[in-house]
Amino acid sequence: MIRADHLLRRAATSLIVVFGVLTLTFVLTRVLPSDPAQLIAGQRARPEQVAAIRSQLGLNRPLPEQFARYLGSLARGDLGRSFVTKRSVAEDLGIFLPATLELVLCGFALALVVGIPAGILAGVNERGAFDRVTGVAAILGAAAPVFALALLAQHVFFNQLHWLPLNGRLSAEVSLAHPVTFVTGFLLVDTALTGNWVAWRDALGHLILPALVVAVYPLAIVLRMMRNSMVDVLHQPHITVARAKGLSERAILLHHALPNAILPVLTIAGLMFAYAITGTLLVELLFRWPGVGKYVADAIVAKDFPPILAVTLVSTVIFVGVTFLMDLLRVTLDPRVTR
Amino acid sequence: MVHKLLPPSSVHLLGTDEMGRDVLARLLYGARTSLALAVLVVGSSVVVGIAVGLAAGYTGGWADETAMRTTDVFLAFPPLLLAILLVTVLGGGFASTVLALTVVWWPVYAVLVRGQVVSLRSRPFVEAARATGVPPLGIMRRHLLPNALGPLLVQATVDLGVVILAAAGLSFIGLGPQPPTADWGMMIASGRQYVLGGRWWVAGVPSLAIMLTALAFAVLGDGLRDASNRGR
Repeated sequence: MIRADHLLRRAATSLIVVFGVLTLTFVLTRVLPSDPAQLIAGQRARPEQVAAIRSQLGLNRPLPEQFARYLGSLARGDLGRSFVTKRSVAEDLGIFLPATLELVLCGFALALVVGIPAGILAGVNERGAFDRVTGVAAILGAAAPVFALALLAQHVFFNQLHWLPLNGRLSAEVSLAHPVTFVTGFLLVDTALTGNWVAWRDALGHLILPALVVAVYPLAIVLRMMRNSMVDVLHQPHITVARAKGLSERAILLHHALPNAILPVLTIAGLMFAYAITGTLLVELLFRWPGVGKYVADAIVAKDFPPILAVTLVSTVIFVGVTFLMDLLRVTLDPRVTR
Repeated sequence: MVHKLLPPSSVHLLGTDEMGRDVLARLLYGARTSLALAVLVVGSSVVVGIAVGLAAGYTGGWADETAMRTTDVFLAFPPLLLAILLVTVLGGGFASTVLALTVVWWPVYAVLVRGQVVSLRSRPFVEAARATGVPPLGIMRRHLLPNALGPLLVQATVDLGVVILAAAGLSFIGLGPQPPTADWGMMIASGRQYVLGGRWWVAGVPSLAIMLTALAFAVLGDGLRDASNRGR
């Protein structure tokens, strides 16, 4: 049973963590060796122009005051405007976040759908042929640099086989001939909703390679953890008791081993998912995928503070949300956790 | 530039790059950069992690609470973003990369050490040491730390490979050591444009080197884990 005080404690620590990350990011962006006012005004601007921009952005105020103002606007749901493009950061995120989520969700779905059953199978047949083969594959997958995988995938599937497009989210011809109506920002969903199947096929083709590359690392980790966790659980006394009771192997696996073994795997997968929101940056760069990672990398280069803060906030909230959910799941499934 | 982009041959065993430099020679010098970086990052993270984890776990109370909430903040911060921000703030190069990755990595060790210390703290041999008047620092150093080292060593070994992967990612986007230093991530970044033209070795060779190194540390870590489990 979930107790209210446990929930409250978790909620409070989550808030503290989000506040801490925001403070850290704010301080870090403010000590960047550059002056955004000068960058916006341009190289040949007169000092008084730069000063005007600085006071307009509030950059001449003391740091705590700037931070308080930032938190104030955040409380009103305002993520601010980009210093460089003057566009609303919230609107930008509405475009870039779905692109990243579409990529990361597909990659992780693949990783879980393949990794969990394969891990279970390997764990059940400990030291069998399948266990050995997947063990080697997983350790290779976890060691492969993601950008090398991306280059290899492009070389094989675009350069050699001509099966899949090189990069981007949609072909230029398709987006001209069959323009996509923006509904959710998820191309596969939007094109399906509007019955635009030509664009749907094109979008899927563009998604396959980057999603595969995104999937490799979590797949390797999930597979290995699921396998190890399964092996651990299967050696525990309660499994022997279940066997002694004469339960079928199937019932033992599904009702006694799996619920215990899968929890740590889901927790790690959740954390990796949260990290991947900005962690797919390299994949996004190599596949010219217009996502959050590329958005924030450009912002860091341009010393454009509001997008950096907003992306950090979104990513942290997802991280904290995932840990919170995983904790709830753990408490619901495992009564020993509640103190 | 007569020697540029030559395929592997008996003269240049792994070919040459776009500047006519021998890829094998760059690879060997790059190994120096990558290994030194990984050892420095993991080493300093372990030191910070041990200090924070021991102090928090042994003291308990509000000090523990503060330390753990601080590590929570660093763990919740998107790691790649934190590293990029820090390297940008610190101005790029080898030293900045080491410092940035240390800031990203230490919380893992702090949490690990603290967990070990909390489970050891009330064991009879620690209580006995306290009862005989061993000062707190002595208890941490002589009784807690040696018993917490096993899992720490395993984690650190595996992390050597993971740090090399992360550092390669940073230098791939131009934030690591600067040219003309030989660096694996940078070699891949500059060789990347020749892959589609079929000249795979410029980017492919350092990619393989990174993968094999990460693999080696992962296997070594697994071996250490098995060895330490067998001892129990």
